[in-house]
Amino acid sequence: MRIATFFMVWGLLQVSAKTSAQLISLSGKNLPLMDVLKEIRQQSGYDFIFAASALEHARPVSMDIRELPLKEALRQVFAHQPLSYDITDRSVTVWMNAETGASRPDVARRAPGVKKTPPEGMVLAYPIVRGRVVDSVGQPLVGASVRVINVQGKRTTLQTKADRDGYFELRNVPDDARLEITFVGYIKQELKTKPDMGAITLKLVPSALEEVEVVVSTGYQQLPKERATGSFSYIDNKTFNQQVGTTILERLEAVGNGIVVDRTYGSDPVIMVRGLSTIEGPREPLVVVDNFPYEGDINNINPNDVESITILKDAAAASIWGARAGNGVIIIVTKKGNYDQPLSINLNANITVGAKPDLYKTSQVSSAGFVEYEKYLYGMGYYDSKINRNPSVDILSPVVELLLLRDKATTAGDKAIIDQQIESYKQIDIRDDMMKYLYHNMVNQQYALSMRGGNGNFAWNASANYDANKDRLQEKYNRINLQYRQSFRPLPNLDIQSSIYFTQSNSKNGGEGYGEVTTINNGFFPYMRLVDDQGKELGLDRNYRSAWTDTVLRGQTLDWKYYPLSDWKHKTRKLTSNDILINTGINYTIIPSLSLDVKYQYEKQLQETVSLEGVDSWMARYTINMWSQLKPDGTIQYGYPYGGKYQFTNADLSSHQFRGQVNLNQHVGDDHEIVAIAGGEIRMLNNKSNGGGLYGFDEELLTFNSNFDHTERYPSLLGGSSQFSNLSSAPRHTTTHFVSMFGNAAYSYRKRYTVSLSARTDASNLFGLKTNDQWNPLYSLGVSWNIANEDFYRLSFLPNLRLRTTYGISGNINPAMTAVTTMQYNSGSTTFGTPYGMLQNYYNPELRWETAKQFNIGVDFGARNQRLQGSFEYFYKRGTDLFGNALLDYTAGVGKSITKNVSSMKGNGLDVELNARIIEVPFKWQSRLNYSTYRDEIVDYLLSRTTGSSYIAYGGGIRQGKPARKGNPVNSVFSYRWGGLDPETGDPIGYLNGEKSTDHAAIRTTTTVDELVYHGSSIPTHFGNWTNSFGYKAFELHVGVSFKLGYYFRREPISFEQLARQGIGTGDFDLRWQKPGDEQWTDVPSIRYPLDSSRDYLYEFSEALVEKGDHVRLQYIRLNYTFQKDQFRLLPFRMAQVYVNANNLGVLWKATKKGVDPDLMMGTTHSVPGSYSVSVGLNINF
Amino acid sequence: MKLIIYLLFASVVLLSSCEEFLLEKSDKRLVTPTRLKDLQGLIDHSTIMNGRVAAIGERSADNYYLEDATYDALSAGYMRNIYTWKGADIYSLDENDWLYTYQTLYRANLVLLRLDDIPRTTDNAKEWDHIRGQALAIRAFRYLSAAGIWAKAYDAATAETDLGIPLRQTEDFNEPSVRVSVGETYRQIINSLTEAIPLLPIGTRGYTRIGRPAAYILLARTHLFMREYEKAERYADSALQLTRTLLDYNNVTEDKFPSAQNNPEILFWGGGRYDYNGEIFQVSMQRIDSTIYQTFEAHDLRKRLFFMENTDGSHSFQGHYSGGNSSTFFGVANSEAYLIQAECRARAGKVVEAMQTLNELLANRYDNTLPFQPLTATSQAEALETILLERRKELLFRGLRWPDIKRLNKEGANIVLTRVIDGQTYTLPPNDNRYALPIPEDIIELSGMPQNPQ
Repeated sequence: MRIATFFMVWGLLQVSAKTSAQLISLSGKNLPLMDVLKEIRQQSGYDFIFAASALEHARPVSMDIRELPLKEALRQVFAHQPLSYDITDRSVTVWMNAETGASRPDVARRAPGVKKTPPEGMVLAYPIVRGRVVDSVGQPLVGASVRVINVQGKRTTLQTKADRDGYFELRNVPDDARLEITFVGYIKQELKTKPDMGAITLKLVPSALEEVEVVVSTGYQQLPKERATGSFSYIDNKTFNQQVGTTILERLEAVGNGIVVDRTYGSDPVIMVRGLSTIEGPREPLVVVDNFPYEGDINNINPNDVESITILKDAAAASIWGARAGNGVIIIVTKKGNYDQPLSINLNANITVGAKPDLYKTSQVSSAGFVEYEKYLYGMGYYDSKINRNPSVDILSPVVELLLLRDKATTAGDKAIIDQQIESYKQIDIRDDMMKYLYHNMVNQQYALSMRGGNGNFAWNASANYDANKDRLQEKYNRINLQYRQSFRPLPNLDIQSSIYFTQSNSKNGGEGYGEVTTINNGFFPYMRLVDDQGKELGLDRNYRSAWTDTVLRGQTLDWKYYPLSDWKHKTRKLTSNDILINTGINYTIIPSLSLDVKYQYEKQLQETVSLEGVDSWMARYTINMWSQLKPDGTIQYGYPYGGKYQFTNADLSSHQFRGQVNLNQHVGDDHEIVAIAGGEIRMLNNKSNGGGLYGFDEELLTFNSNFDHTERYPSLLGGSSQFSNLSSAPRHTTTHFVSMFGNAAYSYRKRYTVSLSARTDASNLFGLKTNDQWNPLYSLGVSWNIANEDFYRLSFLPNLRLRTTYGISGNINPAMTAVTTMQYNSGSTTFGTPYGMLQNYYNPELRWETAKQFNIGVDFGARNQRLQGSFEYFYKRGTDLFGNALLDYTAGVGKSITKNVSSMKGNGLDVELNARIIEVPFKWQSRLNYSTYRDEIVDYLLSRTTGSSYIAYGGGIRQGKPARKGNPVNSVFSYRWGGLDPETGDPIGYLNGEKSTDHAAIRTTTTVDELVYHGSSIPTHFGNWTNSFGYKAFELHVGVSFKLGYYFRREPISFEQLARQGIGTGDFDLRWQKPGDEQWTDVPSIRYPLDSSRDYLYEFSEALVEKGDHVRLQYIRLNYTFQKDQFRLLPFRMAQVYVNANNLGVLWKATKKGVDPDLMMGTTHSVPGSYSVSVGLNINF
Repeated sequence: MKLIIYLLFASVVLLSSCEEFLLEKSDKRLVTPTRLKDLQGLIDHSTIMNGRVAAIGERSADNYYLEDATYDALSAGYMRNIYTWKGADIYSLDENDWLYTYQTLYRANLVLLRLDDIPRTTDNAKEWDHIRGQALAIRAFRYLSAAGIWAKAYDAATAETDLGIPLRQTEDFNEPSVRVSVGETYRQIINSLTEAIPLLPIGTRGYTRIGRPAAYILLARTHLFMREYEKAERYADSALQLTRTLLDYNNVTEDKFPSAQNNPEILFWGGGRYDYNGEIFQVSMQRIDSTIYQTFEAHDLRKRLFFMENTDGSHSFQGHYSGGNSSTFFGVANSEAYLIQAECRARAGKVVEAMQTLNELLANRYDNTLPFQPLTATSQAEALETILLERRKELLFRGLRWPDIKRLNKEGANIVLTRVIDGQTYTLPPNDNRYALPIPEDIIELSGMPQNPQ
């Protein structure tokens, strides 16, 4: 049709051009311009060609001319018109006066499609639009996309690309249209069209500070954030990369929203999304890499391969993941190539140097204090039973040995010399040698190279990463990641993707650090030295007295000494992990609104652990010695075979995940839009492991003792005898099968109202050995209202405003829970050579699934020019039938507590996310604030005791299997009421039945939970992070701060009993009560003998040691300078960035006045403080 | 469109086949105990079924004492409370004998319950009976041990009102525990053993599985504790008719007892629970009462094998029948049958036979390079006194002294226990309430069962 019109007009043009007359006569008042020109055309035979806008803006003409030449006649006709014209080759072109310096438009020689009917004989023409796309130094941007955007702001089919010199040309561009010029890595431009666009300069996207369109990924579909009803928190690449580090998850705390890392005592730190949804079940959020849950070690994924991270916080966002999503979902999207993308290469290299830890920040009893304590205990006879043992083998500290000598010394002079020696120990601090000889600077290196590119139907991305870390104790870790990913579009509606991701990592143990170098009962003496005055390594006595080890078996044993500086070199542990992830996917678009996805992922992870106790290690020498006997001929007979002990385990994980999914994206008219997905999924996970080991291993010759008898009992030097079991272990094999069906639909009306619904049901072979209770359906509902799209909405300063709310139910699986009694075989040695059975789960007919319901309401807003945007969200959740540790009448025979559905809880909180562009030019300042609150409360807790001691623990008791009290947070800190110190004795005073008391044992056994002091939550109730980015020219500075407020922790106590037994005690020892009056300034009890653990206990768990945990931490500072090619023309690459990062910079403010870091303080003795590190790096884009 | 049909078709196939897919065992080693083999596997878990026999009674008894310094150096108050019969707060907060006793009982009960679901056929009858016998005997063994600690001594006059122990026999831990009377407790023990005995083999291949002789000895022990001496003698006799094997201490080399499997005297192995902090029983801590030590004659091999001398001249007990490992032997050894028989014969006035039985045992204890001098008694009273002394000497640290004191005081032995610490004397008079040790306080709170008055 269009072509037909084209030829018709063309013909017309040719015909009308043939008539010719040069002189023009015209007269009249207020004649329409069109009529005038029509007349001139008739008289002259010239054609007139108009731009459409010219017709609209023409003014009426009044004139009176007689036989003027055409040129002059036209001059008069156009004298008062806002139009320009040009005469060429028997035609006259008319166009609007452009704003400035308009040049002559090129008129289509072949007439374009006509939009409005021009006057007869007139031709309406759209000019050809031409231009050139260049970067800021004038270099052509080859392949830049130029798209025509219509009046409605939508992209039209009209588009082209810049050629090899950067030129482009577009025909038939309506003159009310706009052009959108984009190029990867550059800021897109949108311009009003004009025939000659001239040189269009695209600016590079600066390394940060620019807004990108946020498309959140749920792992099943990509959603524009503005259309989602659920709670999604998005971390873009720029924000994510403000930190430097080896692993992904460690960065989230400083930039994520609604995330807090729980470091309370008891286990490894756990990332929590919006607090707890379960008490006893798995607490970690589900981690999804691209489309599937990552089953291997998440530390395998290199942060450099990450494109963005989305955190799914509420039930609606997460419900698509079903039963595993109760704790939130973290979606990691990795980098991909794009179609029509020129080759780009990125290189990122950095090196991080970390300082030695400051051991003096750990609280340790002073050597002087410890020596005095030992003298006191010695006087009381504390060591007598060790000394009198026959033979006396148990280690005594050097000071106690000296005290023993002193007792035996006969002359006052000898005693004085010994006293002097004892005094000298007061000057030594083990931390001096540790800092000097044991700890080193940490050095981490990271190199990442990635390339990507693509043409019209093929896109690819390849990367190679290498990390090499060496920690403060010289533990080594290195990792190689290789990735290749491609997309292929053989047909316009068929997209095939595949990728392969390979990771290899190796780690090797480092030295034993502070708290790991032990000499007595897993403790040590604070005045130990590791080297002698000449700097030579010292061997220490470990667990046994040298008086015994030197003489036993007539001294013919191997060396008994322990060499803390080098022992780790002989006692090695290596871990190798190989992981391969293969992904394929097909997307087939059946009709434009309907497509089909089939995805498959295979993962295989092989992990090998090899540990060797070499014959030179203390452990090997000790074991060999201890099970040696003296033969009648005076030589040594080894029981435990001479040599090292070699052990290995192999773990083999493989998973298959298959998903079929239908996607619908249907517009009905302009008003209705339906986006829906539905599909099914099958997952299979196999875990296999086996292990074994060899005795008498020689690491040089690779030989071992093959005829060692495992059934024989070998006598020990200390009496008794031992067997050394076969190191082989039975292979293990576990299989997990999942079948899931899911669906999700969202309907939008006029882009204002959206309703979403999602449902999922899972079944697996995990829930017991029966298929009951499977197919538990989980669902969510959501509604959003885009107020800003309403006609009545007039707030021009706030162009984006949206309300959304969701409600949903998610579940939690504890795969270990079954309602039936199960047992497991163990092929340990019985007398009968048959395996024996151990009970795993106990019959529990009352067991049910955990459910978590969550309600979420939020508002998203965006101010004009994106000066301020963000969201406020409130959530409420309710968990019922939660598994918890129920204290049990253990007469039942299944232990002191059992995990069962004991509890229900409720929780609520607020998530605030604010992004502000505070200053734009010339200095830039952007700020991002994530602030969250979270509170929870136990609504019900069954079967709990009221005895206070059951509720007392470090951190929140729940983590250590303690019950929770109704009405208090799930993780509550309780303590005993503190009555100060007895002014006469320095005894800690507690309360018994409301009265002050020093009957510590009775306080411990009879105080009820209601008599305890309740402090508050042990996990932060207010937390978040605040990052600020400043830019000036090519400089950028990023500062990340995090804060945790509104929680309590228990400070490390001094236990006099532990100090006596292990030498371990805090510096509080030196603050103890020593004389009447001291109770005025200290809460640390006096020393007393006999040692009384109840007395220690009362103090340890009293109010006196509970501190507020509130603190603000400076997480990182990054300074970078970017070299752009437009500033430095000689640069061989497009962009280069040099950056310096400072990490782990410490606490800026804390509520407690005690010298402890509330986050590192986990109630464990000897938690070595972290130290700051500095990274220097270079990032280059070619 | 075709693709969608395929997909739908695939889903249908998937759903129909997934039942099987979902029945796949998630862990190859995980089973529900439903086969005889599984039940025997549970019984063979010897750490639980043989080990961890309650030892708090032995700790409360008078076979040992602690030096003041040792007592003071104990790391926890509850250990001192055990030593001084404080009557409260005598358990570690983490684990205790009650926990382990009932842990074992749960397994024995589970085996019996599951056995009911397995039909006894001619093919499996032997194995079925064997398993039932073992479970019943182990259950009786642990009930007896618990009754000796947490209940008063059996007294026929008050047995039906005295508080016994809970006799849980269910798999469901949600059911509450209830204490039955002492009489009910002992009837249960006797019934279990009586039923078990004919089901058990006369000889067993391994020392961890209980056999008929050990069950007879347990039955004899039960009646002895009930002071039904006639029956006790009868069952000790039954045991001795099956085996009279003893370990001749003259064959013990290198001053160490042979390992449990090589000790012919051991009929059923049981390990006394080595406490969490283990301190009281450590060789370096406990001291043997010198008056007992003195009663061992020089050529009594036990004097050398049982004791080690400390640097201060005192002695510690080290003669556990535990095969060289450090746990104490609380199981069943044949020597006990001799001692029960001897005592009961003496009580019945059969002095000569009683001394004969005793001497048969002692002949294996004295140095055979010297001529064995049999012990003699001229009266019933002398015989009984001699035999009871030998019983105490032979069965040191076997977990039997505490119930023995309770029983003997009921007979009027008037044994008064005393501890002296730092000059302070603690006394436990005969038949004191504290002989029934307090049940752990948390159990009382959680179950609502009545506590033993202290």
